[in-house]
Amino acid sequence: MTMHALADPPSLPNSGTGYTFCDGCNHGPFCGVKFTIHGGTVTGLEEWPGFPLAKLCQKGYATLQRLNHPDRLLHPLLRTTPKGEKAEFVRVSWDEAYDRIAHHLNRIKAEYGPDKVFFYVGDPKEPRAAVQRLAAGYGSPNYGTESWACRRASQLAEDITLGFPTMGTPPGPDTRVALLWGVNPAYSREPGGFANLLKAKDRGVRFIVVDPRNTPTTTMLADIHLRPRPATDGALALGLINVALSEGLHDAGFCADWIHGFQELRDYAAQFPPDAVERLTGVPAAQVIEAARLYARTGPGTMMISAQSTTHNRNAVNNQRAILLVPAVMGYVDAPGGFRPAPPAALPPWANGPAGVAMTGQLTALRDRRLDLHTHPLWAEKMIEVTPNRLPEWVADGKVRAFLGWGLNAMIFPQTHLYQRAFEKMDFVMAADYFFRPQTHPFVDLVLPAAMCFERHAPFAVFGRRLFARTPIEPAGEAREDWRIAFEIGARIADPALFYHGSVDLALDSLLRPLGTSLDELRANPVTGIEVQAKPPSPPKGYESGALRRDGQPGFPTPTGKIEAVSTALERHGYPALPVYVEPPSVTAAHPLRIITGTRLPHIVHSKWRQDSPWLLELGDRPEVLIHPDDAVARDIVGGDRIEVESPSGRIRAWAKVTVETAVGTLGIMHGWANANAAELVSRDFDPVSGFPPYKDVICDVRKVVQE
Amino acid sequence: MTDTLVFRSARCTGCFNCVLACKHENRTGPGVSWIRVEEHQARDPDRVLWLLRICVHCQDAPCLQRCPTGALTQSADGVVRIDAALCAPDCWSCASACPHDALFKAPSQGYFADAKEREADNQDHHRHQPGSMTLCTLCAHRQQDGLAPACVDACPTASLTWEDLGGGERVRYVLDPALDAVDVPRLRG
Repeated sequence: MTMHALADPPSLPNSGTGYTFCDGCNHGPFCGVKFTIHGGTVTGLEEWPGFPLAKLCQKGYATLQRLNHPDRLLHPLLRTTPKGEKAEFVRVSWDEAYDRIAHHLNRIKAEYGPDKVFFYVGDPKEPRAAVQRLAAGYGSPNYGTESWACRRASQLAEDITLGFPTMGTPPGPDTRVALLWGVNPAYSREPGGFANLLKAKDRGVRFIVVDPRNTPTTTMLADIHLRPRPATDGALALGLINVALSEGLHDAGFCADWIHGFQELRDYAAQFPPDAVERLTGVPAAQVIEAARLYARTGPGTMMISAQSTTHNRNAVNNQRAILLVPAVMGYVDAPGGFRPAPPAALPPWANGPAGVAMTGQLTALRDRRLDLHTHPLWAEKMIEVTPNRLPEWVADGKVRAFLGWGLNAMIFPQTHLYQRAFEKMDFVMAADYFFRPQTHPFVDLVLPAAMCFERHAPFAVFGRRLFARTPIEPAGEAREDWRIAFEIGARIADPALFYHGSVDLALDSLLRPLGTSLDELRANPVTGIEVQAKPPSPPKGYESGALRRDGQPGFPTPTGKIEAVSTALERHGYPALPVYVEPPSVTAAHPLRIITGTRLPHIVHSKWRQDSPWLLELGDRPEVLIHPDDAVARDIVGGDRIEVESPSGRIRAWAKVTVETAVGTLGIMHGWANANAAELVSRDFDPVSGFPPYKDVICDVRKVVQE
Repeated sequence: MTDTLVFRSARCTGCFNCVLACKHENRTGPGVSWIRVEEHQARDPDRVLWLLRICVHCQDAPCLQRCPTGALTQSADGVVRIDAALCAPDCWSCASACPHDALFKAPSQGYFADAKEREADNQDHHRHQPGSMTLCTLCAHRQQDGLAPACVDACPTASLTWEDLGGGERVRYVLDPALDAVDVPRLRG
């Protein structure tokens, strides 16, 4: 590894302006922020002029309060009481903290082997590359991220079905119809993203929106709003495919040439006629027909899909495969104005951590010792990250003895309390974070203060071929940036040169050198950024030109060279090869309702912001369960009532919000409230392919709490 | 400059960007939001809608008429302003007269009451005399620089706009009658 000498980063003046990109969502979309510094404090935020995404949102503004919050973690904290007892911590130096970490890592490696340590990056995603390197350099393949329960099931479905990753394509100039499946871009996309969809509607693009809920997207965009019961999307997708095929509305030539297993798909989809779809999903048969006809006849059509809303169920990957095949049979995949691969960037895949720093090859070489190798073999083959879904069992069996987590949040885990116990039972758990998190940190041994997005260099931002650097201020207290923490740990337990001698700058520079530039050059252009060479976006119909495949041959980048309705990858691992539909558990007399855990609020991402910004807390500081007026009346519940939701797996108490946002028979709650942790309602019935938990596939009942 | 703040309910997604932009711009302090988002059930049984609540700078403003000290004034541009030095503590006359719940007492404490927060609230328009009433200024300090109010710039769907309507009206609600089942006649101007 060659390291170049670097100039010192320009130190920011006591007063002036600086530039960063926000981590208020979850790594992406990387919205640019120009900030004012006064007396050494960041005092105000504004748009970064010229930055690709510069409009500030509620969360962006709230980062100012989060940055200056007096409750921030400022020093490393070491636990002084035995785990399982009331947690107390004492301030220690970074040296003491690192000595403690190195002691456990060296001891466990010597006594049990390095694979007994699990490395993890939650939210934000920014530490991923550095922590993955730490895992690889230490010798453990057991590295995971919060994507184990977010984007990756869909990505796995995309990979084995289409051969390329995509979260869908917003309607372009050629698009005439858009299928928005399980997404509410009014709340989930960058500011401006939804406005572009409104403009598309104004110019005549027709919208079909699939969502059990009423959202701004369904009310403001949808020409047809399909409202399937949660976790039944696979049946709806197969039903749409069946209508198109049985009425001859599909692109027969494309299907014959480019879909592997098309006849099997046709035969299987025939089991989902409109009346069956109505029974399975609750979507009226006539609406299924109407939507299929509109989508098929109004081409070119695109689709936008969610990172996770349609994969939080027991049949995650196959439901998603069925959804992906809807535009496929219409011939819309990679068509002009259609559903296309994500455009290339200078350093793909950036959100996963740049491969140069992340030592992806070295980590892959260790895969035989992955903990999920036998529980989820296709996932283990395709994904660099190990799913931590069976952490409680692994800890009980002595397979995991230590856990190093950045942005770790115990509330991501279904049946959270089992994972909290698992953290207590481990020899050693480290967590790096901005604040002391009450649902996670009482169960760990060491808490490290992380620098925020105004205070860290890594990573830089990548927009296609344009790169931008941050100009951070000094971190508060003794906080350090995540990459530095990972490299400094690495430098203590392995060859310091492997970890850039603890230098974030050297790591960033090493990423830029192969692109023909340097960190010094990037920093010399703090406002405008720099441009580097990157593969241009491929023209549409890359499957004809050879642009989609690495070997330059025509076809899709799958083993058969076609879109795989019958998946050779699933077949190889002994799974059903068609996108089979599995019905979610039926409601019962005791649990006659369903609940979607994770109905999003516009101003909150996961559990963040619940204690970080009083500005945002003023918009709602208590957990609310959405209940349709009909269900509320039947239970004598009115808005504001204290209520209890019970599932077969757990119960939580919250407050009622009676609203038509949610459907009759379906409740909703935003996840991540420590005092009403929705994950306790969710069972550990993981999707066999991806290991995903069924957050949106939960039966329950709700009652008014008469006495606390 | 007599541009008008226009709110179109049909374009509002209830995202709160305007609320946070205002809090950031004007640092109105704990519990005070000059702009608020109310969620309502629409006449359509499958639709909720959002209404912004904000000072509309009424012509013949009732707050002004009820103010016993002359602290509230309305200038030729139609903007109702308050002179904190003249505002009588614990009076509340203006707030109780306001049909829009748009006047607020400036809190005596900040969110964090520490040096960093005081440092951050370092602009003239961030400072609000504790105990005095406050109300939306239509970001007068931004208008001086030719800028629209912060809430307008923050709105991602052009639900809030800053338009020259050619009259003295400073705030206008454009309510979609197909949507609005709620009783908001006082907002119809």
